[in-house]
Amino acid sequence: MEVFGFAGSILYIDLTAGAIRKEPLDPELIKKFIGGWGINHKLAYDLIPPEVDPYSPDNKIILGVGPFVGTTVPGSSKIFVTSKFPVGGAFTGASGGGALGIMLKSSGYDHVVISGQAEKPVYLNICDDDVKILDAADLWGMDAVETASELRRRHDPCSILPIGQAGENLVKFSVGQIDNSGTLGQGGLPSVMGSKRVKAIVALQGTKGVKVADRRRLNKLVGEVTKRMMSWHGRNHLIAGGLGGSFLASRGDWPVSAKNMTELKFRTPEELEQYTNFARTYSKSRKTLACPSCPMGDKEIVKIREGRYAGTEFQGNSICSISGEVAFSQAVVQDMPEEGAERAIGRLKRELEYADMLDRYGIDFITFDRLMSLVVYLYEQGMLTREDTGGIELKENWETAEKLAQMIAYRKGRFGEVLADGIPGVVRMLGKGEDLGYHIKGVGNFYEPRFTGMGTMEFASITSPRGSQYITGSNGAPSYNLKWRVEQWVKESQKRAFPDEAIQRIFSSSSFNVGRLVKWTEDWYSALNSVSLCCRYFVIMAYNATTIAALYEAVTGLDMSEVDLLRAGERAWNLYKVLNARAGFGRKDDKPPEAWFRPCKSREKDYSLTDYYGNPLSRADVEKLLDDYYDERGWDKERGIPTPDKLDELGLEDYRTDAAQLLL
Amino acid sequence: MKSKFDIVVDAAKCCGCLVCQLRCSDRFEKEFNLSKAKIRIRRSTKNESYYSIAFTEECDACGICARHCPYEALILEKREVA
Repeated sequence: MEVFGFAGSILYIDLTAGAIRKEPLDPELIKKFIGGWGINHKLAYDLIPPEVDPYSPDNKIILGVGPFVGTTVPGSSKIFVTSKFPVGGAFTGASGGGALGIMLKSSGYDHVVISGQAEKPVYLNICDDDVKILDAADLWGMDAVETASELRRRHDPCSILPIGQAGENLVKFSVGQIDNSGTLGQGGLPSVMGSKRVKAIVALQGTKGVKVADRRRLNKLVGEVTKRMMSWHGRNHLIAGGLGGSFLASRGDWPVSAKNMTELKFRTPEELEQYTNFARTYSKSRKTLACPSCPMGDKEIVKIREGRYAGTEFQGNSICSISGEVAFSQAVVQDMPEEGAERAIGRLKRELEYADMLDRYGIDFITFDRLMSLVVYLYEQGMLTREDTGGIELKENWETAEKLAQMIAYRKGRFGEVLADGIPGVVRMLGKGEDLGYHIKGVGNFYEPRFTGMGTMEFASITSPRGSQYITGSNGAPSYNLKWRVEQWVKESQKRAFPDEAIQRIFSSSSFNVGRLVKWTEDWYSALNSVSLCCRYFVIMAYNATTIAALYEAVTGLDMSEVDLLRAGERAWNLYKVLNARAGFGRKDDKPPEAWFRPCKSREKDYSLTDYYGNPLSRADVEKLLDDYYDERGWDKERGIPTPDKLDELGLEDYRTDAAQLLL
Repeated sequence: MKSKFDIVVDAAKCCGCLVCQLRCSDRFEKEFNLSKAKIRIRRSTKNESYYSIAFTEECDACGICARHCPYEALILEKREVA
């Protein structure tokens, strides 16, 4: 059987032995899991012991791409990494954009499995069959941006996944950046690389091509999707202002959180004016970068063009660079020296410095923010003392952010060691405070349902096996679009081929059951990951299940229906869950942050947990929604894991014995 | 045959999506292959931030790259007949 669209090989790199080998990708795996992320989970199940220490040489880093990578299918650059991550000890399926996927495939690899531990710092250099483990002594100690620049100088054209100091020093909430722009591996990927002494993975442009089954059909479908994207009413704004610009323009009236998520602060008219000036300055200062194949580029370089900082330039993740504005405390812009017209520029510089600092170390900005908010709050409440912090006074300001980031990245002092283990580290040190940390399974939580209501992105953050991750609940219908009518949600669900009987169960005339709906958004996300399609709203809105199934047929030559596509997504998600259940995870870990059950104060009123349409939600209601979620999944409600019967139904018979054992 | 078009390059608009390289290799090689494209997109060595655009000697300015560039970094202009 010839399957098109795949490179056809898995690359195995054993760092302990210095051994490199290549094996064919089994076409049976493709039939069962579609590709990319699904196959990653299968490899992880077979190759990584469930109880392994994330920093043990026996842990593996498994990279994978789906069949659309390397073709012109718009928005198909996604690469996935599966490994056991340190922040919460879960097996993580993480995704990222950028050129790493297309470059690996151009060398002939759909997956790369990295195992063992090198004796001294190395970097991996992959180009066709010429795969080298090279000395990285001169790179060790460099930050992630410096490392990428140096390796690009040596090897361009290539794509680079470097680690910064946070990875080298085993910071549990480190995150990677592909080509300085696409985050990969929230939850500690760089530290797993660091434990293996891998400073970077460099994928050079190889000589292999991707052949597809039906070029004519593919080009026609790609033309249709591209046309929808190019004619989207928000595209010009997106390309000019970037993801950050779009966000900033629409979120001025959103509050920022303060005092460890106990308060929401809305902008005063004066602050709103300053904010608008900042948003304008930001949009004018950026140049768009795009992932391979994508007409909706949302990566960027920001160069300050005016005022005293003119010429200062940053390349980073756009979400990161606006983080202080959109969802986070305003700590980093508290003490800026600029006034008047210069203030917007000063603010831009400060925001960018903040993002740049964390990107260079390789620290996850969401968890960092939540961690900093927590320790400042504990300090103010007298639960942490100067003795605990190594003599540092903690305040919500830029100086504290700088000091803490440095302590974390280098694990400086006893407090640095504690912080580098993330929010669970602080709780362990204090022996209390579990109810104060704003995290799920160790990963800092992003969205705030006491303000937005419990939409799919908020609920999905609870059920994601890897820890808080809102994106599994978005996929074309993000719940940060507040107060969509029920009909709009139904329409989105139909676009994604959710079955009619499920739609009947999920939607009433005035609301929806978010627990049941999230089951389907996760399956959809899982299917998109398996073909390697981006799930950003402005990309995936140009697709529906029918188009994706047709594209899969055109690329691979294998039959695919909408139902099969979603089913393959469900299969991969179930395997992802069994992978984690085997490592001890279950319903006991699918816990929302305790803060959600306390009111959040603002000047005008208190905000309490509600559903998406503003109806109050109690703790018991959330538990009931979790019951509904497991029920919709066909899983054991009490344990929150797949049943043997469910696995049989999905063609995952090989895993039924393990699942049965877990349910004993 | 000599192309009737000129490809006008505005590298500052290039976002690095590589659609031009993919389209070019698809047309001439019947596969998506960056290394076989007759147009080359590189990160500029002078500045980490931007891209450079170059064409190989084999390029006959057929214009497939420009027709599919989503960012107007490549524009097709009809050649003036002398």
